[in-house]
Amino acid sequence: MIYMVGENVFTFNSGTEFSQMQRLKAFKRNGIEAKLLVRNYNRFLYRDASRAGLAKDDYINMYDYFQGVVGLERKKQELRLLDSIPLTKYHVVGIDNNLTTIDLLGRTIAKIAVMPETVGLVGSIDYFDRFGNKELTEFWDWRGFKSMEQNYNPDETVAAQKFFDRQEHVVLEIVHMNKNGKLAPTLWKLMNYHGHDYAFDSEDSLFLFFMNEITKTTPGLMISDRRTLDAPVKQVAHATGTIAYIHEGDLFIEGEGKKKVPNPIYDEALDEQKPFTAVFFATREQAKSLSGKWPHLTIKSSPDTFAEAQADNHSEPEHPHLTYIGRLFPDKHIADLIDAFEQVHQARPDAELFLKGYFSDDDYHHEITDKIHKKKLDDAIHLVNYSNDNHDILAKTTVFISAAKSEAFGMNSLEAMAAGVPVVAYGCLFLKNNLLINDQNGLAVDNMTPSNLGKAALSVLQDDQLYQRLQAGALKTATQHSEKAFVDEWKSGLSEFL
Amino acid sequence: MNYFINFGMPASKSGIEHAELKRKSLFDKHKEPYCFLLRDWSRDLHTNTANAGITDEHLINMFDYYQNTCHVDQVQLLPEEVDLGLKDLKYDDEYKRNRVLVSRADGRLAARINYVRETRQVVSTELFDGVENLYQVAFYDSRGFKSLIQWYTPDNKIGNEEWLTLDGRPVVKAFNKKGEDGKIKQTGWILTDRKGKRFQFDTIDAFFEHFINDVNESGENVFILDRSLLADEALIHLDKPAYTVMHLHNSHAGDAQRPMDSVMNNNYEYALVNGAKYSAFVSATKKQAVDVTKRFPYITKSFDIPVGIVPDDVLNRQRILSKNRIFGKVIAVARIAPEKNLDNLVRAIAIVHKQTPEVTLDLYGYPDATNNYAEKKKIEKTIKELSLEDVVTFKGYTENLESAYNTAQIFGLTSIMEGFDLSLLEAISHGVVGVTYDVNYGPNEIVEDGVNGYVTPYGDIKALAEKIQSLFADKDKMQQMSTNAYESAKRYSEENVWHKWQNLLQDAEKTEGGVAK
Repeated sequence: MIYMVGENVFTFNSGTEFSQMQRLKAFKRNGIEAKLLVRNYNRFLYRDASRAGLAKDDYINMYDYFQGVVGLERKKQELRLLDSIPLTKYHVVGIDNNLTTIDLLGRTIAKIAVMPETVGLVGSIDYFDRFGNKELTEFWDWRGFKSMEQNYNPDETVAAQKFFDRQEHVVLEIVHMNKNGKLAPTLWKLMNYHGHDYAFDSEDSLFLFFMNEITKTTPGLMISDRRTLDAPVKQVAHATGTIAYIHEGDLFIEGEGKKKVPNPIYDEALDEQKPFTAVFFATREQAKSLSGKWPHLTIKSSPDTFAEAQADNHSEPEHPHLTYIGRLFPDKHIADLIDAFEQVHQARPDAELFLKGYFSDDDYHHEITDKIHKKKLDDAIHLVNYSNDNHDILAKTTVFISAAKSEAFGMNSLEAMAAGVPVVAYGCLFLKNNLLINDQNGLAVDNMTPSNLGKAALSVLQDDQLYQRLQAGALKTATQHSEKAFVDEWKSGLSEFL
Repeated sequence: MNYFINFGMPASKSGIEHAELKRKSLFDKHKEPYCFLLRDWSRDLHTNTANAGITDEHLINMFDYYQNTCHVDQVQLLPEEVDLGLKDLKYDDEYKRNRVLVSRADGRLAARINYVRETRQVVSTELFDGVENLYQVAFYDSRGFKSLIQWYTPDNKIGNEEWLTLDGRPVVKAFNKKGEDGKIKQTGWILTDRKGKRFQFDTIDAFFEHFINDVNESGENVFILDRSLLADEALIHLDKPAYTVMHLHNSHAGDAQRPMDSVMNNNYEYALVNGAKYSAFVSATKKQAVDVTKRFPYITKSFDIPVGIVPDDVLNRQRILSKNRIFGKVIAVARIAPEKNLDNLVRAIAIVHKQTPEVTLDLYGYPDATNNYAEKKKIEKTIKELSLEDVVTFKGYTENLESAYNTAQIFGLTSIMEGFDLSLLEAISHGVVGVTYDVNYGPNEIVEDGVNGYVTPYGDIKALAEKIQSLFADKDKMQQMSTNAYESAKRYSEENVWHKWQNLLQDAEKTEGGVAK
């Protein structure tokens, strides 16, 4: 068994989660037993995991496990059919699509928030005392059962959280108290787990306990994809081996005297005292470049992702469409994309740019929209909401464009190539010469400025012959990164640990 | 079912609890069903009720009811048996403080476990998180299970409280939050009832009303309210019909000497002005029953049923002659509280002491804590002022007064008012002669002036002293009155009192809605 260990399947996933889920699906399709173990509490997990294409037996969430609801199917719970509301005593009043109140003699004593994206299903209930203080919030899981409740201190900060099994027994408590002068969770306590209580000082020690329980019956190889989880994963008692898979291209930050030092987030992954069985990178080049630095570590490589086989449904748009898909975060240099596009737009006023993904935060969102507005490109640049499926947007894309200055692999570029879309990107390590071969499947811009990126994009748009050559190259690259090649490479990479 | 409503059954009982227990014995004897409905949570409740002779079949506590713990066998739970969820713990028994300190291997405090000294049964656990914040105090029922959890706030105050079922489901929750004045107080309750319905209450009184309605789900019960303020609102808002009885345990008037026009006793005001909404009122004396009807003519029924009952075996016991008692021994049995006015009795004894130096006064009763025991201090001052240190003795609260009643000659009473005075009845049933101020209600009915004792004008210390002295001076009169005291107790025999209860219960049967047994 191979356990892939992650924090969550998010509503908005990053490349790390995509990579993890792609790997899981490919392994399963190719007869390699694998499961995703996720740590975070997420009452929308069932929804988000199904949207990401996971089956319910593909993953085990820690909270689900202790709550006894792993694999539970969804049953819609209408808020108006809640057995817990005594309709003989209270009025249930619909306020709008998102809110219903419970009233007694004209006073609102509780508020029911409708489950997001649903009509009339219960999402959560807040209870209020006669002074309007919030006493308690009960949270429903997407699958339609009361999963958690939290109560509050007199200053309305969270006091304690309790997680329930289906019979509403408390199976886990999280206590929030002061730690180093700040309010934070300070205690996780399993209640009556197989007849005993277990107290933990951190969520990760609880997570370790969880992984030990899982692997006790079915031991396996653990792959940690998140650096936040390296410490507990390394300690799993029944692991047949432990692997840290590193998804980033650049592990270094500027230390004292402008010297490059490893970012401390990699301390556990690169620790030589208590090392992982092996540390994996996405490309041979990256593995090779680092193995000399940590001679006591077993450093290997296996691909981050593969190209899903696609039917050829590429339809050339009437006007050039440039597309970027990925996190809209500062480290992806979205502002560079706009500057580069401005240049394209001056030469080809009919060109459009599509930016698909989710922003790091509201500030960055505003910064980008302001920039678009100032450049009067509102009609030419379009922000597209995140979704799991990129087929449609890529089918209408002329060129995929990226301004990232660091990549471990470039999974979004591969996805574009698989759709027959050439890539124009900064020629950063470890994208260039791995996935992106200059002049074969796209253009790698070595001098990483928006102006050079714009020029390169324009050159592809203006030269039909070049465009067709790059398109053919892109499709060829995609076949080289097929699922079969991916699985084979993983099999050989893992062979000595299985 | 006949329900007796009270807040609890504490180890130190007041007259109301004693009256309830006597009623209980009477109902037991006549196989009349009854059940105590007790509102408040206490870890000792079942120990105290068992000690009072109340079995679990005759008891429903509100918290027990929803916690599903009405009937739980007691088990032993020792500090070392509490599951703290941690390994490698060190236990350090602080025997003198009735607790065990539990620490982790690295010395961090994990818990303090408090226990009952004699049995080492766990009382409570104070739990600490990894950075040694006290985050929870859990209280264990004397029957050996975790019952109440108090969660602590980061600034170390009691935040939220929860009561649990045996399998750990929190079914009753209380919240301590900021009120209208910004101060923290209990501001709300959430109940998950036996059917899984969730109710919210502003106060424990509203919660209790809900509970009484749950108990009265099928209707047709008798509710006897022994603590007016617990449920005087609830009983006039019942969802289903029931026979509701407001049992007066004290004067209905603030000044018992002016029963017709003085302000109403605050404890009964609401019930009295809403008197028409109750099925019946019960007073402990005929005199009060008459006064209540006169002043509140809209009250449907007014019964007089003594709260004191003299058991047959007491009535039939060998009588003790006054010459075989301790000469000069006077007793008083009353809380050391302002309304008991014991200072007057002490001053009367000072006068008697001049002529009868053998006189002694023993005061039985627990001191009222109001104003830091002001009343006890006041009496101590009087004793000192009158140099009666060797004459007057504080005996404290005791359940067993048998030997006091069998050796005393006189029972003194100088209260401002009474609802009955059980102790006085017990005293006359043991042949002790009562000398009392003329106060409503009880003393001036239990003591018949010139027959089994004397009733003197209220506040007349000298007259009281004279009557006491006259008894010490005339041994024949003392013996005659003692004999009459024994005889007069027959008015309160089980048979006579039961007959009065039967009248009420028959009325309940007849009343519309009926009464299911």
